[in-house]
Amino acid sequence: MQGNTITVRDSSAILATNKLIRNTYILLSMTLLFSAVTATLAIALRLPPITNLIATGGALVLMWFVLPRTANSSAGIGVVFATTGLLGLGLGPLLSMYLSLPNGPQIVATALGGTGAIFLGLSGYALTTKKDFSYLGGFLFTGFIIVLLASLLNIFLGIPALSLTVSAAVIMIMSGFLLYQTSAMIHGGETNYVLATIGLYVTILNLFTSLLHILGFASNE
Amino acid sequence: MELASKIGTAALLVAMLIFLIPQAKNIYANTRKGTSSEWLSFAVIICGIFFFVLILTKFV
Repeated sequence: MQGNTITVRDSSAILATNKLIRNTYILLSMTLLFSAVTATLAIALRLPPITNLIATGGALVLMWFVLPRTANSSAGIGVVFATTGLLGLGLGPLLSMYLSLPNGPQIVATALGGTGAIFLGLSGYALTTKKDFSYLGGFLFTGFIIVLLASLLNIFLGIPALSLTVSAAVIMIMSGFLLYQTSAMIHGGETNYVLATIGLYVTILNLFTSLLHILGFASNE
Repeated sequence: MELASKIGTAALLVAMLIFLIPQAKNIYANTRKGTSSEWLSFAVIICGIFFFVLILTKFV
């Protein structure tokens, strides 16, 4: 009897995990498409670079203050779309800048393909091996704070080598976050697909912009 | 970068630091410690990413 109860609980936990993963990836793909639309809109309207700052600020306010209150209701999905739409809008001027370079379309396409390959590879690895990457949490958050401090310093110093180092560090940290977040979905660290989606989205966005920066630098542009 | 844009970006980064530092402290204190083999496998993955990015730079 007890054995049967454990089996029922195990299977319901597996079903809940599968549902969480499925819902997260569906919402993630929809938000990525939506932000691609808003980024295209920003490029078409030739929005100024300051758009990035304003849109990112707005998205952070939504993520920090609105999303935690709405994550357990249907309104949370609307907030996720608003956040990712704003982040896509902010990405537009950056993409315009890269696309205006002589080999800009190639840089953007390579960054896009590279981000996709890293995301699929690491998510696939975490999902198939089912390893627990929860031990990475402290290391990744500390690393990210160091990166933020270095970025803050470099706004006023403007050292290209430091900027490049920060981008390389962000790629490594975001790769770790992909493993950490995917593992959290499998092992119960994250049970809300709205929050899981926004976490993965921000990771992918950071990965993409850092890769864009490194590839732009590598092409001597 | 214009001065206003620099100040705006700096303000955004400071806000992120203020928001993230308490969370990072909490996560750092409450996450389990990884074994040496776990850290080694993570290091191998990161090396793989590093070489992948290096290959990507050859395409542009």
